Amino acid sequence: MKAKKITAVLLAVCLAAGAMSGCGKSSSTASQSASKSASRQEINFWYHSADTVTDAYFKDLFVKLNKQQDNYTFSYTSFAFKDFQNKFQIAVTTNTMPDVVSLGFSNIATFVSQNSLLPMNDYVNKISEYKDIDGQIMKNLKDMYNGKIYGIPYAYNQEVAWYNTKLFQEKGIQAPPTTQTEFLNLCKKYADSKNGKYFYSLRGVRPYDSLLAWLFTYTNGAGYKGSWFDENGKCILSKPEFAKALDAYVNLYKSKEVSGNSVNNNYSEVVAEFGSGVSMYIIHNSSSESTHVKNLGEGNFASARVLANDQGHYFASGLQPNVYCLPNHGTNHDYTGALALISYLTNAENEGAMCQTIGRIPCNKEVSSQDWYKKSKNMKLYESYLSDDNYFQIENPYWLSDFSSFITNDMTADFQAVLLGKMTSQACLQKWASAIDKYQQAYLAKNK
Amino acid sequence: MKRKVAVGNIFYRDIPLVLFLVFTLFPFYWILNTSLKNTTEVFSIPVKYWPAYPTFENYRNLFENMGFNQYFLNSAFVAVLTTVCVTVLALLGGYAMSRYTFKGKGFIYVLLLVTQMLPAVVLMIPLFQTMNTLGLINNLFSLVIICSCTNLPFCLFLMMGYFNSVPRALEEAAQIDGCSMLAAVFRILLPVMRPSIVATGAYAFINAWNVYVYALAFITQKSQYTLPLALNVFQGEYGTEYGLLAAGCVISLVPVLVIFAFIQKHLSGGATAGAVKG
Repeated sequence: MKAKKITAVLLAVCLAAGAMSGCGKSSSTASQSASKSASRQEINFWYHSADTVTDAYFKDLFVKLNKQQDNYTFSYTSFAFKDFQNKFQIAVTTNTMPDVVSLGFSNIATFVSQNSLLPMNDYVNKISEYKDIDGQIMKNLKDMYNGKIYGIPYAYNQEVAWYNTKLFQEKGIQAPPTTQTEFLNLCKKYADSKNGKYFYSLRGVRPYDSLLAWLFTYTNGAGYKGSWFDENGKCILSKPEFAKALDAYVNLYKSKEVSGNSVNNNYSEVVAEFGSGVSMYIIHNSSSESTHVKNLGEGNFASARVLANDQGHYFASGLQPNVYCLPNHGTNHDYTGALALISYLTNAENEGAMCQTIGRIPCNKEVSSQDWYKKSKNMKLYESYLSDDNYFQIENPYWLSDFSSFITNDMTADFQAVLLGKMTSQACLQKWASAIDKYQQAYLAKNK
Repeated sequence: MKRKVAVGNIFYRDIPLVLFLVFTLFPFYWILNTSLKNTTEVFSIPVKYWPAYPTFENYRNLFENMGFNQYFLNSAFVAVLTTVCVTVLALLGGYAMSRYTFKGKGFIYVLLLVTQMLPAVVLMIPLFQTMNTLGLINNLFSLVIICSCTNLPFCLFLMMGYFNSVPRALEEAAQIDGCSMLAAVFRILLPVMRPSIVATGAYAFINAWNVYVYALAFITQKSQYTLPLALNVFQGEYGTEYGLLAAGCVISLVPVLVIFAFIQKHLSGGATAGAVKG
């Protein structure tokens, strides 16, 4: 009996100690933040794709922003790209969203469909930098959601080719290939599977940007100028010319003209193959520049326009900017602080510094007058796409809420199956076209 | 005859053991190897089985620039406190479940079993709401509480099994010699059950050390990150820092390996102690 009582007391003490110590810390934190908030409003910002360079940049910027004014305490929180979707989803479900959130272009539709993001049409006039944002980018964003503005774009990546100038010189290759035909010849000529050296690194995981660029360029967009849909609203990927294009691309793997690891190559592996000299030419977006500098050293690599077809036309996904969004806290919520933060972040000085640091292309047109921008060869290349009549932007259907998971999961699994010979190109593309048609129908039905 | 046995041992014991060891240890070796390479060497072909210029740069970076000392301490805090809570509570609960017959014992048994059937992801949202209401978001105690709660049922079953395997006569004899009930448990049973307690503690420690799903839900501020969360940051949208990731993995492995090195003798005995009632 005595032992029972002692056991019960011990258990109670353990539980109480745990609970009290836990709550104790929290309440002191709460009172601290309450006293702070009396003088300065706390504005929380979540960044969707942490890495060491971006984190360092934003941390310094937020220290600067907090010193510059007395109305707000801006706090920066970043998440690993892998974790962010789950983390923000929890915040949405539990109504603990931050004041401002940065999202990738492909994530917007998911949260719009959940009504988690606030349409900003009535608020953009409070962001003085709004007028400086590239008109085409803003139009793309608005068109996607029937005129509703769900975010302020601030930086994007452009699909480009990167080549190893040192290896090109050693092999006597005068210039990077400009057409797909030249490219295929070089892949064949410089494939050395015995020594694990290749011309090109193929991406088998999440291959959509490079793969779509290949398919659309090879087929000249089947005459639809980058649209995924024909005049009847049907997805064009099931057309036989796309299967031919996919066969030509997959053949690189089947003929051992790219590394055997290609099936499992994601962007980081492709960039690493390029950085370690396994390959000498890759197609990846502008974001990998800093990694190339680290791996190969400044001056040992260069960028070039992506591959064109025999007509000189080239297709690439582009103008898919990251955006600053306002999580939907209701129309009665005071968004003044959040808008002030977006205004700070998108002004030419801050956006320019960020794009220069992390290798992105700014959406604020005023940045183009900054010295670093004028001197950057790469920025000139990215900019040249927009004024080139031969460039066609692939109009990825980001308005479909399932598109993000489609390009991440379905596309990867099916493309890998085609590489491994477990699925034909025609069957794969037919499957993709059917899926996109289904998503599009559901979207149209919902938005009648 | 002796020679035949020796040859047999080589084929049936030594070679399979060596193969098994190579298979098991190779990933660990590869992590260590990668952690000592610079970025360009990680993917170099032909593959380098040992870095040409081994460097501790990745480790230095982790501690000087990435705040890994803080993450390590956070993980240690959660794991140690959880281990203490779980071991003490499982010991007391296991004793009660093993030695006493009381009303609702069967129901409690089933209830504890049910808690093990729910995946962490299912519980994430309701537990987040609970912790948010308690003001424990971004507080490591939230992880201690959840890790203790999720590990306790299994550890309690383990302990119950161990207690069942110790003859009741042992504590009765102690009581006849003048010990109180509690003194009999702590002075007589505990020393006998040391391997079992170590095994239970090790189980709780490793689970709490590796906790990820709940950490992802409850922890947002970097200063409160535990090691599994911090390791994910190296897998960015546009690149993976393999060297740093490998070095971080090595650091995460060290405490677990050290603990295993010290307790493996107890562990092998303890893990099977409750299996057969003696």
